[in-house]
Amino acid sequence: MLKYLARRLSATLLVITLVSMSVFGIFAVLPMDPAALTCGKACSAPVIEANRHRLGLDVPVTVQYGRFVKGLFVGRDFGEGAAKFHCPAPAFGYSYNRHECVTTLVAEAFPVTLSLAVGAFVLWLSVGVSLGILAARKRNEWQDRAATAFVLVGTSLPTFISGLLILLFVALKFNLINPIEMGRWVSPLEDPVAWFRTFIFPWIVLALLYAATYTRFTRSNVIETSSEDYIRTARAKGLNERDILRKHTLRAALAPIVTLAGLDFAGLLGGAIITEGIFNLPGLGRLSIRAVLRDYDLPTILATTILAAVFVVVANLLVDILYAYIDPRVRVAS
Amino acid sequence: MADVVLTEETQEIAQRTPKQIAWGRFKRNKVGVFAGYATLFFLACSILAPLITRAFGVDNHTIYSGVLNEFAMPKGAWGGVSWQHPLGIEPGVGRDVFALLLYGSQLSFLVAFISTFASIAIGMLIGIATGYFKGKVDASVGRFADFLLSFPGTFMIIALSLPLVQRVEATGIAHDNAARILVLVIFLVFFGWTGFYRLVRSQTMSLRERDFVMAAQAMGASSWRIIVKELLPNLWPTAIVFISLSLPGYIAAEATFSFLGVGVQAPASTFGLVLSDAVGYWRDDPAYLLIPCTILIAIVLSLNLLGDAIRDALDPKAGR
Repeated sequence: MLKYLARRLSATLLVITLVSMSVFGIFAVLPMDPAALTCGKACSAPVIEANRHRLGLDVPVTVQYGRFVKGLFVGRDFGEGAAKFHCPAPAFGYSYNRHECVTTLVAEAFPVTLSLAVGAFVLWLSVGVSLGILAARKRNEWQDRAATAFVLVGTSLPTFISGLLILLFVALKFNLINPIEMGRWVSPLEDPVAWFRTFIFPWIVLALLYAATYTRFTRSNVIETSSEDYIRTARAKGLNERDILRKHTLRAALAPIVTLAGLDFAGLLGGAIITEGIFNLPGLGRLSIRAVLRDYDLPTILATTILAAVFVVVANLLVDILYAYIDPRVRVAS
Repeated sequence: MADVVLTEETQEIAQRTPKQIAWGRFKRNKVGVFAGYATLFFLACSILAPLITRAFGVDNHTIYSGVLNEFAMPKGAWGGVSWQHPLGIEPGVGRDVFALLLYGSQLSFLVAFISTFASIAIGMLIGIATGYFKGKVDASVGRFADFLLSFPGTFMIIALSLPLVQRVEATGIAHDNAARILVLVIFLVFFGWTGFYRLVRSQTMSLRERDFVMAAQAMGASSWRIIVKELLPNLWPTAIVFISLSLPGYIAAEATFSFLGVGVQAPASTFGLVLSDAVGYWRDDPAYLLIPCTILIAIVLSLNLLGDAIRDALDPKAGR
């Protein structure tokens, strides 16, 4: 097991390095010039060059990457002389448009995205899995049909449509949310009611999409597992249905959901662009989309893209370890 | 042991080809048949947009006068729905929503069809090649596909589309909306081919161990012949199911990206563009938001239902 862990861990570090390098490379070869965007229309070539130097974009991309990595571990100074600005480690860069260390911006946005992801995760997992089990148990009865209809609606509604409909025609129409409150981060420790009110509709929107997938997945897994020989054996030896479901069927049927859930959750941690955008939640998704659409703030774009990828890669590792723990065959096979 | 009793139905099945069996199964699925007709209806409307708009006496660029009131809102109930303008009037400008959506659906279907078929073609090619020949290439392609999964695809598309559109325009291959559509399709395919590739690869790996492939190999058939004559015919059902379930996803994706401002821009119109415009009017003219929403949902829903029915017909065991 230790050997397995060590190998997976080193592979993950390699992937993280490769991902961050490719993100750097992709954004470096693009013809977008962030230095030219730092000043308005009355820009002159010397000013752009000075800004390019200030942004650290006048050196080859490999040197830029080296500085970026170094900044992550020991912090980094941006600018020179009186305009010098220090970002302590881990420094993701300095946003000249917002005059802030990118790490600060990310740290401000992360609790919002985390709240959104955790709440939606709990909601979709509980609804999706229980609906899936119900549908599998009551196969071809009305409960099953209702679950199928739910799956169809959930998978057919693009997030921006369900988000818009719920925001405009439920939340705003009946004054259930305060639009100004949505734009600020409210900690659940300070004001749990406001926190809940802010997030309940975004949770529903996100959960609607994911719960549908999980319902379908759980339903087909439970049905498939129920026809296994060992379930028949359990029934033959006289176990009651409740124990069969809990101890035998669900254990096998729900194991693959660990993988799915881990990756979906990690994907959300990188920012739910559409949901955060529609509900104006100041999370990572809104931070990154604004960085693109407002001023092409390259340090912020790089940081959020790399972070989102790192979340997924790390979740992959955790899910694999967890899976090796749940299912011993994985350890042996590797 | 009871004797095998051939019922009327099994006898009937025994005389039919797999294609006929699947078709028969599909025809019995009433929801699926209805979804099929609905899909055909939407597709026909989209293709025949020029004829239909002419029949209604409207088009998608005329700014109609006298249809908006002094607040630039459509006159009449339900966003100005009338015999002349069946789906109402665009507030603020005064174009006909019916014509806007008909022409917009052409773009949506175009993006969805090209993306789907390109993803399928690439996934099929790479999936068969890696699944059949295995080896080092297979391992590295697999790693690359896993690697792609870790990127935040939606965000990368948004962040990279503006600079890439500029680059495409600089080369002179395409301009304006053509360039935007091209870039969007390239991105959708780039992040979308891996799903079908995985499916084809695993199916190819199991098919190549089957007796009929071994028999062909024993008779000295070339790899090319085995792939084209033995493997491909067995992979078509998977491809058809995947196509029918991917199309609604790409329609929704196109709408989402144009809603976010990536992809086609005005004066062209797609569902996403109309909806992002409609958000500004939701209190005064909710019909302008709800009508396109309903139609888009109807299109995606009927494509999904059709896809489910096709899957059930071709592979009755899967997912049910």
